[in-house]
Amino acid sequence: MHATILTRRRRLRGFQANTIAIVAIVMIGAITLTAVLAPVLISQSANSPDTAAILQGPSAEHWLGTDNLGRDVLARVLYATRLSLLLALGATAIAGSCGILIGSLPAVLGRAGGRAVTTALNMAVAFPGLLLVLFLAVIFGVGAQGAMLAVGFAQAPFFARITQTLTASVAGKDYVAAAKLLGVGPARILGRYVLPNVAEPLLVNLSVTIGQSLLVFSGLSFLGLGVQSPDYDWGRMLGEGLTRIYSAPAAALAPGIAVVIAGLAFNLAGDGLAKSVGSGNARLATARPVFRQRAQSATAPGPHADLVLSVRNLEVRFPARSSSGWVRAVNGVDLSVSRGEAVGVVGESGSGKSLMTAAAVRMLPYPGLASADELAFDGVDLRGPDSPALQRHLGTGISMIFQDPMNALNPSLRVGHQVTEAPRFHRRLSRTQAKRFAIALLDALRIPRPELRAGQYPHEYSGGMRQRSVIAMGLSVTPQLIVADEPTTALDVTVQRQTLQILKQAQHDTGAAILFISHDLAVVAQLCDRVLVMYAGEIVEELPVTRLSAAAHPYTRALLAASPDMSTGRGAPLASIPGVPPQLTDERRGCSFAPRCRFATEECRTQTPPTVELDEGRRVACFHPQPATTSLTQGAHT
Amino acid sequence: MITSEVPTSVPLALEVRELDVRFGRGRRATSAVQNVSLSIPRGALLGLVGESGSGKSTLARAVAGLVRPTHGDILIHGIPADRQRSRRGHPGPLQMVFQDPSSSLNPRLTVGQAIADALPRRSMSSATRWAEVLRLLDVVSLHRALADRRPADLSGGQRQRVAIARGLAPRPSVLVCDEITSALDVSVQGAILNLIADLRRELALTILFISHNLAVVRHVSDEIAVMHQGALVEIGEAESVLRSPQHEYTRSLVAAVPDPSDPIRPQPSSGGFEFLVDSPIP
Repeated sequence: MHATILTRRRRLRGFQANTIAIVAIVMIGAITLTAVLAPVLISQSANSPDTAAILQGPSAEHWLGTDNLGRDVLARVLYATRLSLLLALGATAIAGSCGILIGSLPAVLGRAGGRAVTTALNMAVAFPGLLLVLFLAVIFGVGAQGAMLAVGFAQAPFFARITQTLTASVAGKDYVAAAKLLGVGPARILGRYVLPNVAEPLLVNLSVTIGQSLLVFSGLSFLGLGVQSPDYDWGRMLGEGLTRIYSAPAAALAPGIAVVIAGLAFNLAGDGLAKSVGSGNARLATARPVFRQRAQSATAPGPHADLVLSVRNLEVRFPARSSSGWVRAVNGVDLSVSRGEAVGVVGESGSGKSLMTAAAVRMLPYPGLASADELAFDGVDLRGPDSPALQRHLGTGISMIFQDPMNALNPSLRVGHQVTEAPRFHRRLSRTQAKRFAIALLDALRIPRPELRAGQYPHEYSGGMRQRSVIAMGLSVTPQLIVADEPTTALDVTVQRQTLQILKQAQHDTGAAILFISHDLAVVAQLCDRVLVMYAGEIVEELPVTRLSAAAHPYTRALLAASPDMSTGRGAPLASIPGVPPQLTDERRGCSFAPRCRFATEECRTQTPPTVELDEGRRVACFHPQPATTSLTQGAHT
Repeated sequence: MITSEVPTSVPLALEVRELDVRFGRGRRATSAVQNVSLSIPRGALLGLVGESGSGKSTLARAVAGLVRPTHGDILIHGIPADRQRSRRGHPGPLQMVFQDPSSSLNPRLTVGQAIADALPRRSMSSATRWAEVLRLLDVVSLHRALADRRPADLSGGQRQRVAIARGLAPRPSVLVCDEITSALDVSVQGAILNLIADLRRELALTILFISHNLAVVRHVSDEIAVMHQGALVEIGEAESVLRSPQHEYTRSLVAAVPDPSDPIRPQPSSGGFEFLVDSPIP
């Protein structure tokens, strides 16, 4: 028995973020150390004139030479670190505190006040930053302190704008609305509900701003508007060194390089911070998956000509987010779809129903890993490496329909163009042929006035018509298999009914098979011939739709009992399933549902129930399959 | 401990009169709620159904004071709602539970902090507040140990229980539930609906229960109101509205509820997609 890896792992983004962060931390540590120690240790050689060593070039004694008073250039560059850094930090502190204060005002003030602040900010941001710095530098007066105020206040509008945008997105959240309803005051809402939730992007920006301030300061000092003699920072050294750039290049280059290194360090820190925030501090696993050998399932179907999709012992794994292990999202399932058959896959969130289906048609998202003993679509093994022929086989044989039609449609192309994209590519339809084909398709989907509608854009369609256009896109290649992942979940019930009707019609007219994934048993029961019930990455029961009310697995029965329909006893407590699904990272022993099952025995907790065939077309993985007579609502939990 | 002052002479807990909500100004204005009037007797549960864009959530937000109505009155126990809205440290008599508990709970606050924030701050010592937090966790059947956890550590159903506990903390007399089971799994939905039914009985709560799911609304409601394109098209006793709907829209809504015993069948005469097989290229 061999396992084939279908999806290769690409480079790990989390690792890159880590590297950047480590480099930045080391650099900032070195700079801070220099800033603290240099003025203590090398003040003498940096600041005491030595008339015997004026304007010397690099030597063993003075690695970067000396200046016009005989002072060591390297020592001066190191000595200047403290002032340069303090000024940049001071300016960033001013920019940050003013900006965050002003930027969060709109979230606290009323509508009119908020608008006034936002308008003022927009105008301030539109003003060129450098001009603002120069203008403010003149106003606050020449010198280190004036420059710090100028750089700080000049960057404040930028910060305020970021804060305002970030807080506005959080201020619209339901938890802020809930806090308002509960009488939480505006200051407390800001401090407790809004700002903590925007802290991470703000920190990233603060870090980048330190780097920017360093650069701007060097510019100001270089122009003579910043630090004044006898004090010096990198900018002033740069300005003075530049006069001798041809005779002693080190005197100008050294402070320049210092600025670049320090600026780079803070920008990298921001970058690393942003990446680790973005990936949720993901520590992705580096271990290879270990595939468990499984006993051959007794009822596993062999390859058949009448099967359009045939999958045996499919496993899907993802690197765990929190630990170094693997999440077993799909745990050895068998799945087969006959030609023209409608198969429903039912399960709750996290049951692995979408991942199982995606892996079965080779569309598993990164960084998932899949393996299977058999994986064949229309007689072709899908487990091999990617090839144009395989792509074409899948592209013309399978169509996918997802929950949100807006993600599948290009908003800037006419619908008529989009629904014929595939046949124009695969069958080289001409323009007029494509147009007639598009109109015929939209007409068959009962979209009124198809001639007009074909020339319209997706935003001119209603939600239901959009989903039907996506179905049209899928049908345009006359597929063997339509995979629909929660296609009606985002739709209203009346539109859902139309969409299901269309899918049924397409199945009937073209002979396509349907693999329909849904959380809604009632919808599956209406559309499908056969149902697979998934729990914790395993198929726990498989049965014809007509036998659904006689389901044998306690989980299926609990699902049926938990969803009220138009005939359940009103007011009577609904059945519910106590507990939560298992962590898919743990090594599983026994039946995954046992901890939540009221029929579970010691056997269920220690041994994995094999999948057994109860009668024709009914398979269940349970030690205690329930007879049809057991009450569904008995043992309701509140 | 506070209880909202309830004048016992008024039998209606919530009354909405000729409510209009418009968004935007001038020609681009859209009307989300048009001339809606409804009332809920004390201790009753009114189910409000409608499809997306029907204005049911806007109505809920207007009732809660989160959206300003363009016209009309909202009375809570006969007193204009505006006069009894939440002010700093004084929660009002009407609270709301939102659809998605993952966005209605502040991810930075622990469960205990989130609920404690809903309790009056001045009149309670911190020990009393914490005791009240634990009592509320008991009310919604959550383990007390969860008080120190953050929402990210909880399941969807547990989070929604926290949101309900938070809504109950200021001892409201009216609770607005806006699609509170829509983001939850079926196995959890039943438990939340049972909780709502229990709370109603034990706390004599008046509830406005909003959902797009007719079967869910039917299960919990005394009366059902149907909204369509911003207007209230039908209101009446729950079972009779669903059994013999008067408005055409209600009829189409009831007919579209998925019924497992009524499979969808292809229509043989339509000829719909046969052209794809017969002659793929017209």
